[in-house]
Amino acid sequence: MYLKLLISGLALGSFYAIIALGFSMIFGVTRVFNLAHGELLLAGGYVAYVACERFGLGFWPSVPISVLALTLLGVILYRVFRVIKEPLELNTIVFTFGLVIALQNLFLIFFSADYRILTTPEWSTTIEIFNVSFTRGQLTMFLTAFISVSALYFLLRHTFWGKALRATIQDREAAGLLGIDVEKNSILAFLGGIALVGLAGPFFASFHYIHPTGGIEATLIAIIVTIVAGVGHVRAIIWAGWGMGLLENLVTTMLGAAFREGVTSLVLIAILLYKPCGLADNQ
Amino acid sequence: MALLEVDKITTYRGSQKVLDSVSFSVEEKKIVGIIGPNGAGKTTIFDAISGFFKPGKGRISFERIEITHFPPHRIAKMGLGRTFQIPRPFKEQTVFENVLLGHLMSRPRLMDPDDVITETNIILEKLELSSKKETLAGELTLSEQRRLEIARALATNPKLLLLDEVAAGLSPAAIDRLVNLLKQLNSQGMTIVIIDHFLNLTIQLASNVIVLDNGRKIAEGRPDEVLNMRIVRDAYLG
Amino acid sequence: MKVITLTLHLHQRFFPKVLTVTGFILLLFLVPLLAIQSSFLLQVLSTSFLYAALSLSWNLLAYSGHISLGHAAFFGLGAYGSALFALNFDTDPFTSIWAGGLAGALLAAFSGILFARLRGAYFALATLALVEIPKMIADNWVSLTRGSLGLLNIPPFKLPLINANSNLTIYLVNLSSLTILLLVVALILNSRWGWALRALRQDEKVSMTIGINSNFYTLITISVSGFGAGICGAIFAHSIGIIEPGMVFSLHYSALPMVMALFGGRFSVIGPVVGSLVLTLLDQFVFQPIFPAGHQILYGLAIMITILFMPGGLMGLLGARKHGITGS
Ligand SMILES: Nc1ncnc2c1ncn2[C@@H]1O[C@H](COP(=O)(O)OP(=O)(O)OP(=O)(O)O)[C@@H](O)[C@H]1O
Ligand SMILES: [Mg+2]
Repeated sequence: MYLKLLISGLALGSFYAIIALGFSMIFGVTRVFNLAHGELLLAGGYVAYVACERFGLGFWPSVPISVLALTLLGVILYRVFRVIKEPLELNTIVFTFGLVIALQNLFLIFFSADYRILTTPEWSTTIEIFNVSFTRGQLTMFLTAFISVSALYFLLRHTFWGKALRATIQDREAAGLLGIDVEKNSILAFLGGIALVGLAGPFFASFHYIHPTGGIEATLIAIIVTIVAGVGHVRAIIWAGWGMGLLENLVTTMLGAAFREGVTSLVLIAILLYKPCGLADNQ
Repeated sequence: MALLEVDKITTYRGSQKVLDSVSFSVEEKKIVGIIGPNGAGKTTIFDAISGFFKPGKGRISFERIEITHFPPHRIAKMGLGRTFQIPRPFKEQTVFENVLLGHLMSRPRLMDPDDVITETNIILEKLELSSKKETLAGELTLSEQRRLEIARALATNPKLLLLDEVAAGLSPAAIDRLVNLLKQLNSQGMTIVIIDHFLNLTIQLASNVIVLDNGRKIAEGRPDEVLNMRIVRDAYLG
Repeated sequence: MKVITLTLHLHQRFFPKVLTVTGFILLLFLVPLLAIQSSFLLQVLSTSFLYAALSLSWNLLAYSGHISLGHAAFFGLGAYGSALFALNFDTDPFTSIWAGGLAGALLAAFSGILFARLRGAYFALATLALVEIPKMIADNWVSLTRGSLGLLNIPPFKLPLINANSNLTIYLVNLSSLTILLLVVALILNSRWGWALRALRQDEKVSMTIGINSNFYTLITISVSGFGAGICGAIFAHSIGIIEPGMVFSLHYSALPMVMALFGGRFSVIGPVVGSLVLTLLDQFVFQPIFPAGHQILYGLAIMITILFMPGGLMGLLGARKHGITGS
């Protein structure tokens, strides 16, 4: 029983780590506080849903389609975000709140308020490894998160580009003086962050029922994980993501699903009270 | 009687010790200068006195009342006015309104509107800002913003005025006028502490100078005395 | 009051503007005489008045520089507070709405104290999360609130000589509340309190050096703002008759006041009212017929356009200066 909770919690947590990593990369280089993160995730989910249910493609082909669609959207968003004036964090939070409403209503127009899910029947079969049973879905989520996060970690730590990127996150001006092409790095990191959301979208739609207003919780979780871990700290983000996944699972089983959103909000408030400067502490 | 007493204050920014057991006192109706190289901790002393930066150790008293842990607005209401090194006007307000805000907010009770307007005009006149009355403060030149800083602080009717590098970047003629203004205010009974990196004002005004280096008070005395001390020259040159 | 005389000294154009606004409000009181009582227009206008009142409350807090993304918390608590008060103590709605306002004010004061150290984006985030807490309580304290079944049979407003809960009653109640709230907000913003908020919004540190008690002003401002939002929620509950947690503690009522105030012009006293009138009419007469399902996309677009192209909102375009007095 507890082992089961642990496993599903870690799978969920890996998923959280991916979306938080996306949030963190976007914030790290552009200072955009993206409240519409969850809605972008939903957008990825809906794209995959259309690819699967309307065009009959399977789950895996729908993943690159979702990534591509969101990256394209990201190019537009990046240009728009650049126009926003100081105070940047506050203005972008207000702006993306508008984006939340706009996207929710777009989903309503195109998909109605119905709950939808990507049906992937093969994922509910269980596999036993060392006497512990996983569903295939959990294993896939876990592996995908593991691979993408490790890849990113390697990229940031051990490649020249990654080092330049981390320099950009830490201090834009100094990075510019060192001859790093800050602008190019910014857009690459931004698109990378959005692409991660595009990657997570189809998974989201196959684990949860998705509906037009179902994005906000994912946003709050991404923010919690990012604040706890600090911007750009890949390993810490994984730990925090797992912690959040376990907590959510625990709350759902002990108190019931009705308390989940409330508890997420309480956690966010508690963290903000503990770290009143939020993301600014970790730059 | 000492109007302001700073007693062995020590403060940290992060792990860096910015002030190291600094003590000094300011007598009523005097002008005192604080000098020292960049990063010596001069502005931090003002932040501590005006209540923004609570020292880890030591105490600060104003008019014999310990204010170390008072919130800034309370200290301001007790009669302590200050300016900022980089001018911080209320940019969306006109020059007139900036000074008016100083009046409105520092008094316990509201004054007659006619008096407020008259007094505001007098202060603007003193700082040669009358012609800019209706200009938005954000559109002023740096030297005008410096004068506006002083005007706003004066509007709060302070007993003690802390000026943070108000002379930086002013023309010699403007500095002369500023010296005259400060002399006049002082002769009317105002106590003034001036941070003065380039020593433009201190030499002409201060009866007493405090030299800071690396968070420590390294010397204190009359301006001509202090400037001839070896330790002070070393701090400035090295 | 002395500061208001001061305001008059400073801004000679203030007086004609007050006259214009007063005239416009009187005109609105006459609309029902011209339109048929049950007309759709009357309903739409009533709604826009309620939103305008909510936006004014929101904007009072925004004047201090605090952007709230969680006014639904105060709105919803006001709705529940008033409905429960009226149902349990069998009182008239005109009495119980004060209980609703008080409930909103108390929660607002509580969050003001709790979030005292938060600024900018982090304050906004905290308020966004705040909404879930009263919602969770309303959802789960079933013996009091009937949980997700919601409260039914909330008594309607009754005015002498007019059918209970007719469109006309709601119209008059909403317009009167808006008028009173507009007056209160205008008085606050033109007093020493309002000047303190203007200063705090621009530079909190400097404000403190001229003697402004930042915590005190923020606390009373958020409390009054929560009170206004609570009253709005209460009025909403009595005009609709049924409320449930997901309906009043929704993102919708957090977003609306912000959208309308920003779009209308947050630096001007009547900006939020202008924004509410324009957007509600646009929504109901243009967007609703075209996109019946997602018509509220308008509100999202309005925020984004405002942030990108007109930081002062409509009133800013009309030349209102940021400090807000000339907009009154
Ligand atoms: N906000 C801050 N955070 C961290 N360290 C700071 C901060 N402000 C100042 N310091 C550090 O504290 C020390 C003292 O700074 P302070 O501003 O008091 O010096 P100062 O004597 O006023 O110098 P200047 O002549 O440049 O104005 C410096 O080493 C500075 O780097
Ligand atoms: Mg300094």
